[in-house]
Amino acid sequence: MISFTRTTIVSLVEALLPDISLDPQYKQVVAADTAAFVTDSIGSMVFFLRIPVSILLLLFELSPLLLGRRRFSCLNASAQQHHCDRAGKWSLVKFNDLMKLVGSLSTLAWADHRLVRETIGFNWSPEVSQEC
Amino acid sequence: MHVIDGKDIHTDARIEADALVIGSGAGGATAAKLLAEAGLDVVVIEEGAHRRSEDFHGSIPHLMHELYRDGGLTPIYGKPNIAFAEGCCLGGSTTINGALCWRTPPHILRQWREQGLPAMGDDDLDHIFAAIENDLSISVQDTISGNSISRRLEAGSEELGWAWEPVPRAQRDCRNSNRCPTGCPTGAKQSMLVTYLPQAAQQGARLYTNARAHALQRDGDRVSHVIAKVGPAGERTLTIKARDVFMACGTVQTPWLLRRNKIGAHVGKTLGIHFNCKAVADFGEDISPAPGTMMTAQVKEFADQDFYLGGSNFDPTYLAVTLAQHGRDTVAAMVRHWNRCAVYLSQVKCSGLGRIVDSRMGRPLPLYTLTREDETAIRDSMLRLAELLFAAGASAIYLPLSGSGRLDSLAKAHALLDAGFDTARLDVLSVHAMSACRMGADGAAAACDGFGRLQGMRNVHLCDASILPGPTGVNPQVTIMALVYRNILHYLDNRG
Repeated sequence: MISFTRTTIVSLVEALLPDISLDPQYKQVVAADTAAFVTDSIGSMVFFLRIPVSILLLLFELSPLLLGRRRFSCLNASAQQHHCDRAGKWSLVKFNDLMKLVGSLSTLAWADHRLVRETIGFNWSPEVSQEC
Repeated sequence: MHVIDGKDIHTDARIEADALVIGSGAGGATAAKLLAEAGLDVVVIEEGAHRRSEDFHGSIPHLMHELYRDGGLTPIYGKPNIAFAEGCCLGGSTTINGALCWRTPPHILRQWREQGLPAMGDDDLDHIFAAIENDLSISVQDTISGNSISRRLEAGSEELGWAWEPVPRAQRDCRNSNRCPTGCPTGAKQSMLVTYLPQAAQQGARLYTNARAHALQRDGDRVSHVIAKVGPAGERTLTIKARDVFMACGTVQTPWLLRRNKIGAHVGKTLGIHFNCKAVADFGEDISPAPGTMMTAQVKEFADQDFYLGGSNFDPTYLAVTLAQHGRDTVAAMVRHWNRCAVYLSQVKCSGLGRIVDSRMGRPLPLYTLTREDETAIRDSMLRLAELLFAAGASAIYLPLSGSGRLDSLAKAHALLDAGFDTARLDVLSVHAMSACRMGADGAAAACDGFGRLQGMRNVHLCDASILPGPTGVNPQVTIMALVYRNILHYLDNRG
């Protein structure tokens, strides 16, 4: 995947991740693992889906320039979150679909992360079969 | 069960069989088992990989990536886009579904009979349903332990005086692992992976995984050879010469493969789907949602309006993803209190028709646009779901509408839904697509004849959800299996 896309995804994931008062060290690990999962998922999409998503990510990265600000990944954390909130309502350029896609993927990886599960006290684990 | 991994095939290869089955899900496995039991030399090719029960205890996102087509990121395009999930692994969607096994509703079978379809009577199908129920150990499971989500649903239904039923599931000694959507880690789910496929293999069927059907070579009114891509990177070919070809690639892939190869008429023009609208209930107290299964009870009160209400598998991951559209703060707040929460859904039968077209970029393009009737049914189903959840004791709910936020009373849910909504805000998904190559009576403008044989082709038989004459309303696994069973028996009785 092209490097600008990766940078945008990392910033986007950090802006979209829920905050459950994780230990700061954990938070960094979770954010990095989540961004890696989202990057891999988008990178392994079929060409047919990956190209439009990559174009949307580029447009999204540049979209704050239209508002007289810096590129998305160069904004500070609160400005990034504010921009995500606003972009989630822009259906014309399909940023709402992009937010939905990245939001779902990052939430999926985040909530499944061992450190998040430990923090929220979820320790249910199913039995495992050695059959078949 | 011996399975040949297509990735281990390093040279182009050619094989022959009496019957080639493409796909190993509910339809393909049923066809393979019956054909092999009848003594035919059967080859099954499956695009996905072979994963075993012990592989199903890992991380949910990674298992989704391994077991679902495109990692579960296949959209049905329309307004709104609909997330569509189907299995792409040995056993197909039966490996990753909730194993809910309803017989085809009588009013649906009546409609199909009225369309002139043969052998759709009780006498024709009862013994088939019974055989499938026996083979898959379909039964209502004990709900004394676990399944608090479904028990809340039962309580809410009782409170409202609504009809509900225990859910028959293909399971043996379900341990309430709550991992149905990423494969059953205990082997309790009686998917094709642990039932019909091993039985077919025992009768001599040869199973190939990581073998993707790519081209159908036509010779007049027959398909003479099927070419599959195999090899470590799909760079090799496996050419299969078969007397008869049984296509069970699923409702999206079967019509696409046919269209790409310019075979068949009326193919891919009659897609039907079920919509799933997921909601989260916060019960304000610990309900121990973790041990359970997809659902053990379903509300049947609105069957005549073509929607059903039920629970859904619980894990903080599923909870968080369902809430993602409500923003990071909502996800954080609810995930911290996961033990108070549950995910429920309404399942709505579509009223319109979608299509499968060729994107010309190496992928099928499923299309469906919500009709007015769909919008009304979805709205009604969400209202009824809200009513049920508050009656069941929820202190607040979250509906699948972006920006709708936390609703802490039924009056607020009414106000939200009564005001109408832009469908672009609707977060809807589908796990049931069907009827894109439906069977029709003699002379009807349908892709298949009344027994699943592709019109205009002598040796191509469709064996998956695409042959259903229309959406079933209920989970279609048993209907798919029963119709394929019926069609294969007809084929065996009539083959030359």
